[in-house]
Amino acid sequence: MDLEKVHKMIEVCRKIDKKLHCFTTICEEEAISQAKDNPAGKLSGKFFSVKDCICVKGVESCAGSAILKGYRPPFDAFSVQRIKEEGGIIIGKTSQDEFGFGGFCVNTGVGFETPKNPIDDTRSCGGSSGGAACITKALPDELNHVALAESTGGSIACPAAFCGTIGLTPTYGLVSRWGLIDYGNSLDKIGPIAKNVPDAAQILSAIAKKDIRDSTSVGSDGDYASYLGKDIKGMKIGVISDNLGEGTDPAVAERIRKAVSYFDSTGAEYNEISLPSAVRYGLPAYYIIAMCESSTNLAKYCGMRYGANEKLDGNFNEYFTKVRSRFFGKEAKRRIILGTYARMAGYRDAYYIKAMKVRTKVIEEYKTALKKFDVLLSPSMPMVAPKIDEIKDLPPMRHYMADACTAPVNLAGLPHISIPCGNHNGMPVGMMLIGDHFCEGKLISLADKFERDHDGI
Amino acid sequence: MLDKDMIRKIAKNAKVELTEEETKEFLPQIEDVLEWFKAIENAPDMEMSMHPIKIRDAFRDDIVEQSMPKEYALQGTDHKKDGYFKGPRAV
Amino acid sequence: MGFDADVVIGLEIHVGLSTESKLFCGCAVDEGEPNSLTCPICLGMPGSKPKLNRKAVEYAIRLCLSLGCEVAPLMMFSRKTYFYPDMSKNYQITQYEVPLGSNGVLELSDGKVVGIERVHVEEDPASLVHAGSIRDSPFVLVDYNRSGHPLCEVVTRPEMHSPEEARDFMRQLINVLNYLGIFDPKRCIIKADANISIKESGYVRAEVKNISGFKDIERALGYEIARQRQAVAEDKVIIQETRGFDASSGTTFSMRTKETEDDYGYILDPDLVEYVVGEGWKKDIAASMPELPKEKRERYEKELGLSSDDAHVLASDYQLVLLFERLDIDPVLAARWIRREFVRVINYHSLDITDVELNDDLVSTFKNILKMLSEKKITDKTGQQLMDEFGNAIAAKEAFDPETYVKKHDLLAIGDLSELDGFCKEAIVENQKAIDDYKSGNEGALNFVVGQVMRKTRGKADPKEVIEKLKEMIQ
Repeated sequence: MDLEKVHKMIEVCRKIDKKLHCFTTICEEEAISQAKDNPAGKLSGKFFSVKDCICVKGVESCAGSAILKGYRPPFDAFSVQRIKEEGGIIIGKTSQDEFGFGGFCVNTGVGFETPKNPIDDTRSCGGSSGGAACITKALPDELNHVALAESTGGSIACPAAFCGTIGLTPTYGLVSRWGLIDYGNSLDKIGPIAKNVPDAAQILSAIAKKDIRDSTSVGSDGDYASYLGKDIKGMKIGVISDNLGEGTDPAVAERIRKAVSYFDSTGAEYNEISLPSAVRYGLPAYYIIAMCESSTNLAKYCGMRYGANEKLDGNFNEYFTKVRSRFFGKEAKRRIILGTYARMAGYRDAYYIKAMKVRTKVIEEYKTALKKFDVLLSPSMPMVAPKIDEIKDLPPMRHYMADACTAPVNLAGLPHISIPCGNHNGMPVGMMLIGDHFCEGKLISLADKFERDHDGI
Repeated sequence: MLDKDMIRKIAKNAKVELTEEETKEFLPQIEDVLEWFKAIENAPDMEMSMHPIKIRDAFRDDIVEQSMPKEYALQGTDHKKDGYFKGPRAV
Repeated sequence: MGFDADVVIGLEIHVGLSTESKLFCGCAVDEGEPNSLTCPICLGMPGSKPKLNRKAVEYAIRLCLSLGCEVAPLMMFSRKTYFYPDMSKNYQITQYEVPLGSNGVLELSDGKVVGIERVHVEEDPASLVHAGSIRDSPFVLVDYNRSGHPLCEVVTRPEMHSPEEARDFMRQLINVLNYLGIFDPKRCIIKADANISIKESGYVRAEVKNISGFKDIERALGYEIARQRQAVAEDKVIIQETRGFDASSGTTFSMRTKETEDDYGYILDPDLVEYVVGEGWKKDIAASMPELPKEKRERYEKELGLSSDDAHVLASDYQLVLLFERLDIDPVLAARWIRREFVRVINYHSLDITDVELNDDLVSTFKNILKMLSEKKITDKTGQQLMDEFGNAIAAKEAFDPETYVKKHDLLAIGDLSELDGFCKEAIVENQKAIDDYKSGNEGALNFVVGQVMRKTRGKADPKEVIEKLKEMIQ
């Protein structure tokens, strides 16, 4: 690859980063050495940013947290390895809510900046893959770039919606989690944020291979690009009515209905459907499981072996507490406490165990719906990107409730894609299509058709 | 019942120390969230799902693989001595 | 649970499994320079994920089957979260919700049966080295080579009532482990935590942690019972607590009270999956299991013709089995001499059979002794004498050459002990009057004939044997 191109890309990224704070690290040296190696492959000539929680060998990977400052993983995440094998060039790590704990990227770790929305820099990029969506939107088309991002409760769909990009969250287990710094191990999925559907489909094919190092990896050898340009006539779409009523900005609901009319006009069929269990129980159950799992995942961060540390003083209780209290952000502490509580003896039956039973119910409800419909349709988020100043002061509960559309889907591990479908007050509205497990193809076909008929994004 | 003592107890368990201010701030927030969590009480009783999809039997064969070179293992920290990691006192 | 025994003891034993690689990664289960057998997984590096070693599970299933446990048809793992400098992730992957095995039994040497509550699989933490003493060192040194070693935990019901029973339990368990080939004393650790309570205190439980080996179990529990009884006698309150064991002084010391123990907050480990333990797999494992004590005992009796006592003693100790099966000589003779003589001289030196290294030299020495016996080159009495010397040599860790010893002390029996039959017959014929006198009640008359036989053998026969032979022949 032309090294000039790489230098130019890095320069542009640095400029954007200065304004919008979308990177935690820009790795120029690594990018140059990858370009020199330049294996020929399906992703040759393409640039990739990687969400900070996805490990890149030798590049500082902190999951947006001060407690991992200085951690340079001795291995690549599987998805990163695949990109490199296909000739893709990694240019940097993108900013995120600390460990994924947030939907607006305002819960960045101690010392990390909140990324600003490229369309209106007073507004949020969404979270937790805020930096990924930000740089994807901000970069000019010619600088061929796709972001590798991650979703636990909606962290791909949300920033994609707020920044007006494509965000594809695959089925749980399709893409290996080896090298992903965990948030919720039964909920985390790695997926692309891209300017267009074909880019997203192409990278999915590259990264979706089965990986034996991840016990939960199912993988697929599918060619997702083969679903582009397919006819969608006769496909059945189930519009989730619960997400278009109270709690959703009417302007957003209106854009979604417009999109539904469009699909109707192409010969796809639609009908409304209500998912009461997903709506009522899915969100709290998601948070319980996510917090229980993450509070155990975060136990390993204690100033030994890697990451931030302190002077070795005192016994282990004192030392661990000192390190963790100093370097964890507020939201991380809050979730650690909530997650620890929900799995404590005496409470775990009512919270943790019950939440896992709710997951079964929610999955059952979606699957029943997905027998009637090829895909389900909903807004990605109940609002457009809010002003950063306004959300900073909201209590945590309000933050959590903003995940109403995405969290139940993520709890069920269903694949979903967010596509821009219009604007409101100058900010993009995101539409979410949801498929059954391992049915990414249908999502790609529908999203691709929509995108082509709406003149690109 | 959640109170300041309970929060402190949980924080201690999780090796996180909250300032007096943080404890005061967190208490109502955490109470709200826990109350909200209770909504799942009314959900029907079903089998637990450990993962969104059923995954079984991911085994490894008992074959020795090359370990990471010692230098790689130790490179991430200054807390080391004579090939060992250094850690805080156990007592 | 209603107790009425004076002493109630339960054990939790951690057994290191002798797989080649660790439980969740491919690092070798072996000795090495500190931190040379590590990888992102056993170091708990962020982004790493565990993958279960099938062989470790197989070994654990073998143990479950041999203890008569019910084996869970669906196996899962849990995270037990607690903070300590030897933990690579500050949570241990173990089995909490559903153990692999439950409701088993182990038979003690006196036939008493101790219930096994559960058997499960979990990973070992790292090893700590304390700079200086554990109390004053400013930091610890951690070696993660041990982190991730596969462990099988066996939890008994509180059905033992003396330190001797606890010791015997450990011994029997180690025997079973040796039989199953899932434990290598050179590479693997075996440690026990003991729960003990006494009637006098109203059965308040103390836990003594990290006791290695069955001898120390007896020492630790013996000390603890005495300590508790003393405390009760002095009107002190016994609290429920965790205590450590100091092997060098044989005493226990307080570590922490139960109240200060943190909640482990168990969740299922979502980096691992559900594992099916089907009937087919169990059958395969059962079929590939080495012969267990009961089967061995039966085979020894039926096929090799050992006496039931000899078969029983041999089969109940894997070390003896190993020795026996290596001796490759008349099995009935070997069995008898192992049971009566070898065990006798080992015990005489206060050794346990497990203290004796069954190397080639030892085996061939023993074989030589047995060979001379079977070829009737020496008498049984001489054989016993050789065993005494053999025992001394084992205790002193020296070599012993029985053939040289026999030559040096002129202990070779008369050429062929069958000659003895001939000499006895001759003596009987030549001394009819003395025989008649003996037959009419004169014991002393027999001694005269014995003397005659001794003269014929030039003193090399064993007088006791001669008396027996004569008596036999006279009948």
